[in-house]
Amino acid sequence: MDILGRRRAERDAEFVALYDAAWPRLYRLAVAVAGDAATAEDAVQEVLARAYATWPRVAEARHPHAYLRRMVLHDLVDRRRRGPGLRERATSQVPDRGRPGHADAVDLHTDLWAAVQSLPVGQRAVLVLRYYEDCSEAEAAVALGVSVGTIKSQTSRALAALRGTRLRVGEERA
Amino acid sequence: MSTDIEDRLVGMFEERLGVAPLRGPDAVLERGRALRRRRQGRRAAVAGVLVVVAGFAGHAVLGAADGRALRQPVVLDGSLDLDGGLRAYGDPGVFVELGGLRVADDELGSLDVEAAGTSLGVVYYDRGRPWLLQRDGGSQPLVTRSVDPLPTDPAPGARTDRDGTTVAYATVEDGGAVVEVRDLAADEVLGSREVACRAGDCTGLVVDALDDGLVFLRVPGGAGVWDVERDTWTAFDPETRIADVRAGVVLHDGPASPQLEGLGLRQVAGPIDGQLTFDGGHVVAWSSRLEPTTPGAEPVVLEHGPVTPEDGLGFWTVDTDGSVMLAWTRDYPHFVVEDCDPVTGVCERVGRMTTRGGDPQFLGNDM
Repeated sequence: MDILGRRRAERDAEFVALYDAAWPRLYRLAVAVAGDAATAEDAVQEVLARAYATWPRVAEARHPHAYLRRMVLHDLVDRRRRGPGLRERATSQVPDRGRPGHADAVDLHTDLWAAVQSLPVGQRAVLVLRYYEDCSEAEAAVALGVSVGTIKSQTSRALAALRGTRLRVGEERA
Repeated sequence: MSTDIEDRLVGMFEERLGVAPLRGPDAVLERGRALRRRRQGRRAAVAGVLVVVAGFAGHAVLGAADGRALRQPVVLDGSLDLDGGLRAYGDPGVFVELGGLRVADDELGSLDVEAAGTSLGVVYYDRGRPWLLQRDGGSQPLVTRSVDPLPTDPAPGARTDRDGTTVAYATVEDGGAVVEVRDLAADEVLGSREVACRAGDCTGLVVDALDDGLVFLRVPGGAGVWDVERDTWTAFDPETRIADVRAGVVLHDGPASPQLEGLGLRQVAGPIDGQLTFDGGHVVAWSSRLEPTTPGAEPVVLEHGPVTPEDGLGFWTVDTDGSVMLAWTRDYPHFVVEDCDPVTGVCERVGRMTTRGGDPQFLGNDM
């Protein structure tokens, strides 16, 4: 194998290793922000393809997963900007749900999911980063390219909106 | 109460987002290779065409040190107005606006995001040779000796000091690499440093930054700072990834480096694709709110452009004169392009564009 062929094979191997590690987490993150599996898969695939095309820049990052996560979030926000007619698919259907829990919990989760999906995309992304990705406020700020103050205010607004939503199971019964 | 809803969110996400479907990498690899070919192939093909165009320009052939003729890879039909900075922005694959001159994509030749804007033109590479695209639209080789192709993955790139006229670039010659720092205004080489390569393979050589006569280099197997005037080399941990250096402030990803601290540099953690304002005081990264590098200092909020993703879609870069270029929209793909003062935040509209090739691009910045 010539030097270019060897380099390409090495790059492919490095990329596939990152892909295997990153795909499940990025996909779930994207589903939570996009609200539907098709848009999520589309976004993650596009971001990973762009990552392959600009591999040196991704490989430069100290934390490639954080870099990819930011690319996915920006891609999803961009899709919103590009308009619903182009790429956005509005649905609350989520594939590959985990184990079904107690019926009340499932009802609550269904309502809460719908409530989260009704939030502006920026607030949704903040909630996903804070309560699914377990990011600190500083990490979420880096991921979204905003200040920590913005993360705090977005979180506060989102939680206030959710508290104002009447869930089928929850506060009334709690 | 808030803990309750927060706990419920954690539980809801865990339940709803259970298991991701398995997807192999083949489709992504195929798409990624196509994107990569498009990025690389377009430049190579167009460069060949431009040699012919340049032949008609009458000033296309220049002498190389070894007596061979050098053809200017890029000759523009017009001159550049650089008084307000390079103001280079474009619609990928369609056009680039450069110093007030709109250049169609098929006339760009080797100019791409690896190029470096300066106050005297654009430094770019063609077949391993650094060139300066000058105000008059013609190109001048910065090196006339025989050179070999540069590595492409990553490309070494070129960097400009904030004085706007000093530039660092690399060449590969006789199985090794040479990094030069040149004062473009005086047309004088200020310093030159050889970099050892592995069996003629210089992959891994990258010019990361140039600030006050310090060149931040990644070299095969390490990283270091070359002080051009003293011709000293200070190695540092290559895990410290340099995003930008301005006025003694190092914007980095990864761990801070004790060796850089020892040089009297102030290290600030930030995104790898971020940039610093020329005074090193603020970070330009994905927002019209420029965060301070000094704790407790005030941010600079640009007059226009999104501060959060919800405000709109924006792209930013630092121009050759230190101003902040901004392309933003609330009505994709119709973008407003502005040139903003990095101290007051006041913005001046310099153009509009409706992109057809994707998101706006800034020459010399792969943000």
